[in-house]
Amino acid sequence: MSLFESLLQPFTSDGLFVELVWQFCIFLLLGISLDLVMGYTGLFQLGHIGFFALGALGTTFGTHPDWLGLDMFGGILLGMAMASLALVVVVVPTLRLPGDYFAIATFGFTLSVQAVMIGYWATGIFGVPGPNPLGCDPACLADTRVGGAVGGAVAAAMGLGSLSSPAQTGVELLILAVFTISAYVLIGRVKLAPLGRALKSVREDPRAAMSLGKNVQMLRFKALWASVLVQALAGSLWAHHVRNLGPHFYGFEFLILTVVAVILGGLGSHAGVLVGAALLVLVNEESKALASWAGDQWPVLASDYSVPSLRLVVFGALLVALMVLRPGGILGEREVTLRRALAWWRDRRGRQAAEGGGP
Amino acid sequence: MYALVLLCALAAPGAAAQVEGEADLMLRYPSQVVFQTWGDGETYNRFYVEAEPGDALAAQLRVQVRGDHNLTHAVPISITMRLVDPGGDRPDTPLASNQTLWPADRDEPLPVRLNATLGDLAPGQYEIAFTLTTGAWDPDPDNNDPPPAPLQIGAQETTVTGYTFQDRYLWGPVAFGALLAAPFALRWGSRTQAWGDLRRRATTAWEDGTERWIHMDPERRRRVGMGVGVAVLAAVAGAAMVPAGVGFGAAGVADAVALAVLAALLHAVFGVWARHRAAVHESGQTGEPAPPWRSHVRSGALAAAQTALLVFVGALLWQQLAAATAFFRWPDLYGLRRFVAIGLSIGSIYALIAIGYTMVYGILRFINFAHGEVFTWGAYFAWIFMVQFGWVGLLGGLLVSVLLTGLLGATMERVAYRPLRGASRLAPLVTAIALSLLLQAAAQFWFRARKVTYTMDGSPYDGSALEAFFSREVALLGTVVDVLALTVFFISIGLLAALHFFVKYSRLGRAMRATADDLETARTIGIRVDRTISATFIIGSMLAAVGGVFFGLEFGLKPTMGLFVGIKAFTAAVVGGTGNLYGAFLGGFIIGLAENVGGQFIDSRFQKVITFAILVAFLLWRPQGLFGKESDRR
Repeated sequence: MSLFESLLQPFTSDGLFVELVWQFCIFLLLGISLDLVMGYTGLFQLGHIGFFALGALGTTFGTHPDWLGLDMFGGILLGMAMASLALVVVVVPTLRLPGDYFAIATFGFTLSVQAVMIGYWATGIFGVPGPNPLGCDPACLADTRVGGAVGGAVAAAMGLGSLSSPAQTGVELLILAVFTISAYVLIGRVKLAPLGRALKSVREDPRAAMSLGKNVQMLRFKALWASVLVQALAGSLWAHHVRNLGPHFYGFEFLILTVVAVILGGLGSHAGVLVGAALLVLVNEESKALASWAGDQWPVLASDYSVPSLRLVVFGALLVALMVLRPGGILGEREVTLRRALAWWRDRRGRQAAEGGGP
Repeated sequence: MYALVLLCALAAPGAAAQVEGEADLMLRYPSQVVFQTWGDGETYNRFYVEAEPGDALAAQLRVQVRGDHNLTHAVPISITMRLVDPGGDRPDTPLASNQTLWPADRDEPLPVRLNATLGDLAPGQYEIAFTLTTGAWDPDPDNNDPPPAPLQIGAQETTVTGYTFQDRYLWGPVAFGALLAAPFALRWGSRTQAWGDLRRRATTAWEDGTERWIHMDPERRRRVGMGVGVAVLAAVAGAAMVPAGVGFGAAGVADAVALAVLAALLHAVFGVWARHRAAVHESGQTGEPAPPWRSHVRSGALAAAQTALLVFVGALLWQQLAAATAFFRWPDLYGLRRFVAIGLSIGSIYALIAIGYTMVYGILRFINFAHGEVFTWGAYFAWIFMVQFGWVGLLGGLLVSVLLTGLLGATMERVAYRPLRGASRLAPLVTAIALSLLLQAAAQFWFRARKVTYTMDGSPYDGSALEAFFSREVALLGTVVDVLALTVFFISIGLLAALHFFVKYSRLGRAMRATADDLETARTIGIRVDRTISATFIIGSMLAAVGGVFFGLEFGLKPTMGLFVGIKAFTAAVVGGTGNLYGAFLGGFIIGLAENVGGQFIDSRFQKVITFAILVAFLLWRPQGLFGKESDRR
C-alpha cells in the first residue's frame, strides 16, 4: 500500500470511520469534563480514567444479562453512582492538598482502579450488550409491541426492519450523538453561566474568591462531581460500544491521550475541546497508519521493534513541544460560541463596508 | 408470552472429516421484525426473544464438510430443527427439517433453509436446537453401490440468547429524565423561602461544626479522632464477629499482643524523637534551652499506649475478618521474616529513587513525574551494553548506565523543564507526564513490551555467572537472603553516606541546600542556580540508575516498570518528608516493608492499592511526612 493510501485509510474504510466517530465523541466527553476541572477550576487531576473505568464497570454489571440485565439507563445510573461514591470516598478528602499532590493522588487512584480491575478480571468480561435504551437492541423498535404503531412506522422508514448492520450502527451512533451533544451543551451552559465564572475566579486566586464570599471547596467539589458524572457517562457509552470490559485499556496511555486532547484545544476553552478531540483522533489514526506503512516498508522495524509504540513516542514529544512552545493550546482561552462567532462576523462585515465605503 | 432461547447446533469433530454448520436464525414477527444472530461457537451474543404462537420462524444454516476427506460420493446431510425444553419436562417439538446434498468436490458452505411456524405451546422458556446428521438418503436410486457410511458427527449446541423487552424498559428513560430535571426543580424550589431557611440553617450548622473542629486543640482533636476510630473499629468488630462467632485461639491473641508491642515501641521511639525535635526547633526560636529528651518519654509513652490498644483491637478484628472473608488474611508472623528481608532489599531500591524525587521537589517544588522512566532507562542502558552488545561486565554496565542516565536527566531538565520555570503550575506537570510517556514508549519500541532478563538466550553476554553469584543465598538472622539483596542494601547505604558528605561539605552540595531553602536569595548571593538545578537532576538520575540496574538484575526489565515503581518511590518520598533526603531514604524502606510484609495481610490483588492508600493517608494526615517539620506542611 502506498503512503497516500495508508494515510487515507481511516476515511475510506467504513467500519474504521464509525470507530473514529465513536472515539471522537468519547474524547470529547472526557475532554469537556477535564476542561471543566482543569481549565476552569484549575485543579490538575488525573483521575478521569479511573472514573471512566468505573462508569464502564457499572454499565457492564448493570446491563450484562448474567448480572443485573438492566437497560442502558440503568447501567449509566449505576456507573454514575459508583463513580460518585469513589469520588466522595477517595478523592474529596484529597481536595485540600496543593496542586501537585492532588494530581499524583488522583493518578494513583486511576492506577489503583486499573490494578484492581486487572486483579479480578484480567481476561476481561465479554457479553456486554450494545446500547439498548429500551432494554433490547434498537431494532426492536420496529416491533409494534415495543414502539407502538408510530415506532414501527419510524423504524420501518429507518430501515431497521431488515436489521442490516448499517441501520444498527446508525442507531448506535444516534444514541451516542444524543448523549454527547446534550452533555456538551449542558457543560457548556455551566461554563458560560455564573458558575463557570466563579470557577475561573477560584482558579485564578482562591483567596480572593473566598474573600468575595465564594465557597471555594464547594465549588471545586461541584466541578469535580459534574466532571465525574460526564466521565462515567463516557465510560458507559464506551462499554456499550466495545461490548466488553478490558481492564488493560483504562491505563496510562489512554490517560495521556485524553490530556493531550484537552490541552491541544486549549484549557479553558469549551469549543477548543472540539478542536482538540478532532485533532487527536486524526493524529492518532494517521500515526497508526503511518506506523503500519513504515512497518511494511522496513520490515526489520516490525520484526525487531514494536512499531506501534513509535506513535506514542511521537505523542509524548508532541505534547512536550506543545507545552514548551504553546502551552495555551490552539484556541488558548478564547471561548468560541455561536453568538460570538456571529458577532465577529457581523463586525467584520461592518468594518469591510466602512473601509470600502469610506474615502 | 414466553421467551425463547435460540440455539444453534454445530457438529462436533469426530472423524477425519467434519460437518459443521452455522446458523443465521431469524424470527419473523407478524409485523416483520427480524432478529438476527450468528452462532459461531462463542457465547458472546445472547438474546432472549419473546414470541407467540403463530410467529414464523426462519432459519438459514450454512453447512460445510471440512477436513481431509476423500469423498467420492456426495454426502447427504439432513437437518432438523426442534424446540427443546431445557428444563427437561416436556418432549421435544419438531419444527422443521430439510435435506441437502454436499457435493464431493465442494468447499464453500451450503445454505440450507428451514421454515416453521410456532404452534400452540405452553408458556415457558425453550431452546431451538438443530441437529445435523448424514446418510440415510441415497441420492442415486440407480446406483448399486452401498450408500456411503455416515460420518460420525455429534451435535454440539451453542446458545444464542437475546434480550427480553418488557414493561421495564420504560423506567429507564423516565428515571433519567427525572435525574436531569432534578437540578432545575431544585433551582426552582430553592427560590422559595422555606428552602432558603433550611439551607441557611444547614450551612451554618456545617460551618460551625467544621470551625470547631479546625480550631480544636490538636491534642484534643487527636484524642477525639482516636476515640472515634476505636469506636468505629469496635462496631465493625462486633458486626464481623457476630456471624463468624467469637473465637480467638491463644496463638491469635499472642500474635495480636506481639504486634501491639511492636507498634507501641516504634511509636514511642518515633514520638519521643519527634517531640524532642520540635522542642529543639522551638528553643532555637525562643532562645530558651530545650528540655532533655527524657521529659518527653511520658507523653510519648501515653501515645504509644494508645497505639498499642488500637493495634491490639485491630489485630484481633483483622484475624476475625481473615477467617470470614477472602480479602483479609492473617499470615504466620514468624514466617514474615522472609518478607522483611525482601521488603528491605526492594526498599533500598525505592530509597535510591525516592532521593531523586525529593531533591527535585526540595528545590523546585515540583514533582518530576518522569523520574520513574529515568529509573527504567537506567536499567535498560546497563542491559543494552551488557547483554545486547556484550561489551562490558557488571561494573562497566553500572558506569555506563550512570553516565548515560545522568545525561538523560540533564537533557530532560534543560529541554523540557527549564523553559517552563516561570510558567503556570500546570505546564511543568503536563510536560513531566508527556516525558514519562515518551520515555516509556521509547522503551516499549525498543523492547516490545516483553520482559528481558540478564540471562537471555543467544546474547553475547554470559549472565549465568552473574546470576549464579547473585542468587546465592546467605543465612542471616534466621532467614535466607540472597546476595543481590544484600548487595543492594549495602550499596544504597553507602551511596547515601556519600551523598550525605557531598551535600554537607562540598560547594555544590551547599549550593543545593541554599537553593532548596530559598531560590531567589540563593541567586542573589551569587549561586549559579541553573547549574545547581541541573546538578540536582543529574545526581538524582544517577542514583535512580543504580537502583534500576539492580532492579533489573533481580526482577528482569519491562518497559512499564517505571510507572509503578515511580509511584511507590514517590510515596516513599512523601512518607519521609518531601525535601528531606534522609527521610526519603528511610521512607523507601518503609514502603518496601509495608508493601511486602503488609501485603501478606491482604488479598494479593489489592497489594498495589496499599501504596496508594499509604500515599493518600500521609497526604491527608501528615503531609510533611514522618521526618518533616510541622512548618513544612503545605
